[in-house]
Amino acid sequence: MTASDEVLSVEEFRVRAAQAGLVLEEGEVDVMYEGYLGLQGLLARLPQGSAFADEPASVFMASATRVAR
Amino acid sequence: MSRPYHLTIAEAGTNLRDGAITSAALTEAYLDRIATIDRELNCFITLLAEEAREAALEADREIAAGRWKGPLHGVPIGLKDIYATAGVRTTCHSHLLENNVPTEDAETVARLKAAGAIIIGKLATHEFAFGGPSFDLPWPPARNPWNPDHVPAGSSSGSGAAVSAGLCAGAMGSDTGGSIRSPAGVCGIAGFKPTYGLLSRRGIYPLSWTQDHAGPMARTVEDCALMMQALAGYDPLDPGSVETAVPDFVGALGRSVRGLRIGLVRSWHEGVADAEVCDAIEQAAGLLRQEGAEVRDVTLPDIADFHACGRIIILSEAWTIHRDAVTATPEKYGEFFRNRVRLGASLNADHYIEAQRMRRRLTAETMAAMEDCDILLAANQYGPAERFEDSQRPFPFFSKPYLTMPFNITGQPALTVPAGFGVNGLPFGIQFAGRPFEDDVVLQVGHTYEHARGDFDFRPPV
Repeated sequence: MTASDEVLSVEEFRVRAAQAGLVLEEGEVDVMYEGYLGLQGLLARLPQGSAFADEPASVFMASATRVAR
Repeated sequence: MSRPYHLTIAEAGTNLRDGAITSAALTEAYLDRIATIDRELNCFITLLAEEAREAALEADREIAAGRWKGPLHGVPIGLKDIYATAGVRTTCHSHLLENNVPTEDAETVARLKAAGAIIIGKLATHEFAFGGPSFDLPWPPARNPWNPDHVPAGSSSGSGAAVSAGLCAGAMGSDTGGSIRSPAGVCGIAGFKPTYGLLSRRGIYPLSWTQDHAGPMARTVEDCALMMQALAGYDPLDPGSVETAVPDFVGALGRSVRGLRIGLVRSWHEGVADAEVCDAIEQAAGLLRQEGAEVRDVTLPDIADFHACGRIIILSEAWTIHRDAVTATPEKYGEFFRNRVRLGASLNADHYIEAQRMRRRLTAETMAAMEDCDILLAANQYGPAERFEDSQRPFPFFSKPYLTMPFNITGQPALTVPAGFGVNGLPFGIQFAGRPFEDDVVLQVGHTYEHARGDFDFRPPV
């Protein structure tokens, strides 16, 4: 799945969860799917279409961002 | 001395040094108060009464012998129960670690002990600093001493409530998306999230390696500075620790803010936060102007971008940390934590990488905006604490963006200072943030505001 993938249906979500090792009780599927849908709103804000040469992610170090006074 | 549990750390330290009170008497006063009111507040998971009494007697002997270690010597401090303590159970407020007894202290705990602090107990938290407030865990959730029907926010819930209620002079919290500053704000105390890398996280149970910060919570900014002086410093065994000079946090409190440039961040709260919060921020800007600072508006990236970025990183890293245990023994977690952390299974490597790319952009844009200002002034919360019945949402982070999240993304130091009361009479705080490793400047401005604001009575009616 990538940031631009289609949103999963509840059945597809159940399968994906099982593939991830999650054993969801019947009542939990609806709650988790609701969370999954909420997560899509956050994912929609991620950058899309980064070029291959864009800076890769790395461990964050605050010292690298220091601005001299 | 009546009600010594109302002393600030600075006051207690001076009285202990001068022999006006003993650590034994001070510790006993806290223990009495805990016995009286903690049944209602549920701040403590593990009370270290006998250990604290013994440590207090030892502190008194050292002080009497002329070996005063500094302002924390003999002062009772509480620890969020994700801080490892040698020989004392560290539960993370979870069934999973109900009987977990570490063999070593967290580095910050060792530093507090070296400064002479008395560790009085282990405090309630949201489960693994993420799942709460929950009623399906071995211990009940901490309650807000201003009104026990309301939450003390989280995840450093017990730390905020205990300091506010006078159950310990100061406490350690942790902050991944606002978990020091949120409870500090709604409990009417000060809370400080230092620059990423300034305080060791070794021995603190992680939630998100790249966003976790340790930090102090206390009644005043001065008390936070006193704790920072004992806590800060390079730890080669914490990969996030930065080898840099430790500022003079306490000395900075005496400096004037004249000429400092304060950037007022309006876009994050205007039109969304309660009127009392908006008014308090304007008042803070006015007070700092009167003290000689220049206050100007500053535009930062959309708060929703910070929130989305931070939440995706937290969910990704928390899932990695808990995946094995939560898939093997889901029943050992509370429902809120179990569901929230399992949401991370929906995320993939490209989401995480794009979130880290976004983080770089947000940090660069924030630093660029700060070329014209030394300190940011922003809302800490939208209003006072909510009621428990309104807090029982599986995924609270899909509503309004957390106002505290930006500085977990950028790693900047951020301080919450009490600023007023909402219409329901409960307190709220406002937030100051500075450039990375200029933590002393943040404390300086917060301390100046705190004194200019005047002497609000931020003691809850317990």
